[in-house]
Amino acid sequence: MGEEELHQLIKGCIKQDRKSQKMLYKAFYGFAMGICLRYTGNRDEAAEVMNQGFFKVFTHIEGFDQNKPFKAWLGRIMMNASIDHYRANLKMSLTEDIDNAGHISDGEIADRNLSYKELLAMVQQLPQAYRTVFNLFAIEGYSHEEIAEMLNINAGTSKSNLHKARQKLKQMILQAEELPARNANYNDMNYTPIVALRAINMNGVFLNKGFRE
Amino acid sequence: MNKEQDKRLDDLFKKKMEDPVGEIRYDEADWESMEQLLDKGKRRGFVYLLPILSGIAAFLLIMVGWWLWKPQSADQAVQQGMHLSADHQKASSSNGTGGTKPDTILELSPSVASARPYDTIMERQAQRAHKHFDEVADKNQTLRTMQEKTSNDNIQIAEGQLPDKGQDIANTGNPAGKSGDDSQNTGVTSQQPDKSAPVLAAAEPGKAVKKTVNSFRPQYTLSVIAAPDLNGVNSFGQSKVGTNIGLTFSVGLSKKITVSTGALYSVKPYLTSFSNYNTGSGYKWPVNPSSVVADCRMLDIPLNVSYQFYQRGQNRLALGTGLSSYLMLHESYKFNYANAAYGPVSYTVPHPGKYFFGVANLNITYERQINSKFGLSIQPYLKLPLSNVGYSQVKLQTTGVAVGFNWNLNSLTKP
Repeated sequence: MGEEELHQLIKGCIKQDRKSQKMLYKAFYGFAMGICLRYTGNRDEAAEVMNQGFFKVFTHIEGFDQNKPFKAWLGRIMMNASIDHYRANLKMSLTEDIDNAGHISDGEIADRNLSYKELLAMVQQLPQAYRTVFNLFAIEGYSHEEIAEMLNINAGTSKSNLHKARQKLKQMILQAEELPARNANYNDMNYTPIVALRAINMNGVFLNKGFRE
Repeated sequence: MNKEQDKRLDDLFKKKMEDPVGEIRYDEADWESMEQLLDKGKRRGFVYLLPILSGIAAFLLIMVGWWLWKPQSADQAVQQGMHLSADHQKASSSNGTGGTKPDTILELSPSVASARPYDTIMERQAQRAHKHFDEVADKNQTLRTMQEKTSNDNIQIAEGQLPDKGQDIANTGNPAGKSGDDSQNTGVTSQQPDKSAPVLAAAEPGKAVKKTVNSFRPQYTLSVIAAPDLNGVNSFGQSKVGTNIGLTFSVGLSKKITVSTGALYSVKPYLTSFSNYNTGSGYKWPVNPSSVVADCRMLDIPLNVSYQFYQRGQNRLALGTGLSSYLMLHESYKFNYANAAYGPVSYTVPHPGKYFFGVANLNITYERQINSKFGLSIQPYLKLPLSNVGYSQVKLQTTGVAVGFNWNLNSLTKP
């Protein structure tokens, strides 16, 4: 979208023209949704947060300084909407936070080209508190002090949540790396995973002398 | 913990997730919930509009109140003027005591006129009416010089009224003098502009009015309008309730300016004293009725312009003005008589006329959009006569509130 076109749309939005609002919404849908998806657990939740964000955009668009980049402004609003959503769900997310990240070895993360969808699925699987800190630190680039202030937590919690988030993500990446490798094997050698699993089970059986654990 | 490992992990996510262009498909359902959210938000915003709306309502009340009061006083002036003229004639013709103060006459004349049937005075004056016209005029001239500026207007009105009243007198008092009617009528007709000019000036200080229809979204809007209203002649003192229903079409010329037209079927009943009723055709009344009840049905073709001066979210306010043409479809009059007198009971006009741009519209429109396709509007309006309307040539004014359901035709070509 050209600068001129964007300015026209913004003008229309200032006048609360529904057509302009829709065009702006469509134009920045992907960008806004991209932000909200990584702060939330699923698409529906993301769409809800995104619409809350756009609502703020449409109701505060008069205050937008047109000399500044619109996309950055919109992105910040989406981020804030996500943080608001996080705060609103704080009670629910507390239970998740008790969840302890398993200690995994600092294995090398293979340079396999994981797709956007795969990475998003991983982030979305994170407990909300980890996910929010990870987003703010790793993707938005805020410091722990800033994050602590934004989320009304202390910097130590922010660091800890980031650590846990990374641990979980690494775990997931390693799993993802293993899984496609196995899949590749099937394709090449016509093995089925069930056979392999049985082999493992058999080991267990042998170790227990045929008795179930 | 390996910091470099962490950095690599962060970068991996950052690179892929920062701006996932092309990865996300647009879903229309999300926009629909967005629209709902916007509509809901506007509804919340409506609360903040209340002080403004109540301010406007207060302004309208004052305006309507002013109109109710103002034309009524003018109306009284007209009636008093007429009585005054009759008394002047009487005074000058019977005893010639011209020194009577006009102020006293003004005070007395309504009771005198009502206590004494017109024909008593008229009979006596019938033959002399024309003869004494000049004399009366002279008398008035003399009086005028003696008077304060305020009573000056009344005298002027009285002067204008004289030939008219003389006509009535002649009609009543001289049943056989039909041959003379035509010539007298022409006299009346020629005098009428004189009469109406000062009356109009007194009743309407150059005010124009309008009834718009809906003004709205830029571009095209079709509206169904229903409006109850009050109709009265010269004032709303004896107003009767009428109804209007019709279709209007608006074109937004810009964001703020909307032009609208349409057709409204209007039923306008009204009650007026006989003095406002112009016999026109030269019909001789055996006894003058005390009042006239009119039943007019017409097509009201408005042509209005409105200016949107306020908009917030789904709510809009616009001021409008314009002109209306009345195409009469049916026009009938019923005559009421005092003291069980006899006379024609009713009259239906055989060929009702068309009155182009004879009425000025003034209105204020509050409009609320329900969604992108439909909206509702509420429009208090005032219709003021610029010229006489109908067979009886009355100055019919109307005030009411139009409720409209608007359909935004642009929504047919949705973005």
